[in-house]
Amino acid sequence: MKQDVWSIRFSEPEDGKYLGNWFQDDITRRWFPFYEPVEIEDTLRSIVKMFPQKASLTAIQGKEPVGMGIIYPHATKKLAHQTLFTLIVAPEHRGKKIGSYLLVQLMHLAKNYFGLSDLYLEVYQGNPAIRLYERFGFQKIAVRHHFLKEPSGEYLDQWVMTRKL
Amino acid sequence: MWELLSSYQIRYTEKKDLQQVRQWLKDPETRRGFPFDEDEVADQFLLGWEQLTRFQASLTVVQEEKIYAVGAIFLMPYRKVAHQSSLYLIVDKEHRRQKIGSLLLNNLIELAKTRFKIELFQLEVFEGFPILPLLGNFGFDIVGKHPEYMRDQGKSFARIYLEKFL
Repeated sequence: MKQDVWSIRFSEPEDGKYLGNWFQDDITRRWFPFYEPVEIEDTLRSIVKMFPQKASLTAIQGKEPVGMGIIYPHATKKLAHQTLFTLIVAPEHRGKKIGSYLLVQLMHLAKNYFGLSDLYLEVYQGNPAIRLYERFGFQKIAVRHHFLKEPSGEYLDQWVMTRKL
Repeated sequence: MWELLSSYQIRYTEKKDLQQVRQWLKDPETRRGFPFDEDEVADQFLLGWEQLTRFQASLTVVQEEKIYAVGAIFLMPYRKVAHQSSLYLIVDKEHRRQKIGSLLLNNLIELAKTRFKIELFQLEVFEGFPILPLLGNFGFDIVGKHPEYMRDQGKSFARIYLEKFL
């Protein structure tokens, strides 16, 4: 069986267009608060802005980005010890452990490069990635009901999960 | 007490009212309820609040031109979260525990329901902050706790998640 080989590097500006394509995918979009094209552009802008801080990692297969993990270090001293992160894997590359690989590297970056002691995430009910986060020791600390309202009228709860580094 | 409260007026917040909020935020005790200490971050926060005044999503409690409290509904900019909202609320330090916060909160809830069709509030408040009992009285439920979310003067404070369906 052919083994997929990935490498990891800091995200570069051109990765933004791959991320933009992943965000267009309906299943992916279900797990994020954005929906309209202008919202996707706005989210992309705020993520790409993090790249020069070296707060984002891209998983590469060959020369192609296949996943990304982003931390959002706080600008304020009171919150500087912890932060939120986002993980996303290209729809056609899911189920290949890329998410696990990225998460290990992202936790390492958060702890050793940014000196963080805690990471947290916000995820929506039913997202298969919850299993990954639980496996990595993230614990659910809040359930925020009806946080998202899909255009169909369906509501999704938001889970907040955290772990020490 | 309610008779006294009737002498206060509530109006939409004007941009100049935020100068008073800026002053209140300089007080260390007031600022403890907010996740920042840096003036430049406070300025960014107030810039966001100014946007809310343009949508008439912010209310000010006044009596004879003096500002006693300011509160705002934080309108969510994305379609999938536009049905819910957060709140900001600051009462002048010398006039707390006089039901001014209740008066303002009551009006913000009505404004959220009637003008902005908000279905629920999702709030984040720091542990031990005096607004927590007030929110409890108004039917906000605690739905989570993020331990050690904020560090201030050598102490850690949890972030408390609250929600209320309107």
